[in-house]
Amino acid sequence: MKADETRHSYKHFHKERWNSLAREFGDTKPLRAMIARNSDLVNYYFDNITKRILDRSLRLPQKRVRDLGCGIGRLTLWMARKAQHVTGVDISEEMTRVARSRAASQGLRNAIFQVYDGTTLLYDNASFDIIVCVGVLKYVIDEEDFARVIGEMCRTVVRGGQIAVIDEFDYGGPVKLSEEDLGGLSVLRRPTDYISLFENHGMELVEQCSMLRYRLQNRGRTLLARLPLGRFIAARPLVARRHDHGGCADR
Amino acid sequence: MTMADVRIDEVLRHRVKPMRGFQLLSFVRRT
Repeated sequence: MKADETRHSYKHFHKERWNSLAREFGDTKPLRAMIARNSDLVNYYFDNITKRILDRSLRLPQKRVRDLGCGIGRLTLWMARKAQHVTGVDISEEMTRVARSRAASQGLRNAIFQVYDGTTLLYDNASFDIIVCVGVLKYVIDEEDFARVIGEMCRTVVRGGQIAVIDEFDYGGPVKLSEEDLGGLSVLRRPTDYISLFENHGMELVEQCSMLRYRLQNRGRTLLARLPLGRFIAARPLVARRHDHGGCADR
Repeated sequence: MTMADVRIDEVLRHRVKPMRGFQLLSFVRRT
């Protein structure tokens, strides 16, 4: 029992942390509650680039979508404008409260929000066409929970459905970050750690792309892209289909 | 190759390889 409590204490830590951030920034500067606490520029950049990457990757019209780790509804509300229905779930009650209030103020009736930690059997089999999970799985530091969350995502997506994950990786990982580190209590795993778990649940990797490469290819006139290394990276294909072994195979 | 060359080679390999970053992984359910 004691070991089990210790194993799950990270959830309590994150729940309290996100609740506190939602109370502090949720109603005034909501992006600060989710991304960087002290820079609107970083928040604008991250918000913008994740939406552009997902916009290119997902076909949202007429789809039932789940946003796992929705926070203040940054992506949920954006997807609700295109999809048939979006369900945002988050471990934090305060974050979902802010998300509901933002949905109401924007008149979006096809977005609902629920408190959920991703590990239990809350949804029926194959109940979503698309599941999106951005910047969340690295906070699931317990390996059993990590496998369970991925298993639940795969169970609840329809055959032919899509799961899009954007997360921070360490290519030599896994690296565990402490509560004091930037980003807080988390584990940066290797892309292969994710891929093998998804493949065990019948999922096939169809796209793999780093944000850096996306940025270089879409901002070709920036100083970085003019440097030899930048040009080299930018010249490689943006989206690698796994079997043609293109340029984004960072695994 | 001298020991110094080997050392430089090791350092370069670690410096050049990107160690951290954000990625999109997109999957489709086949079964």
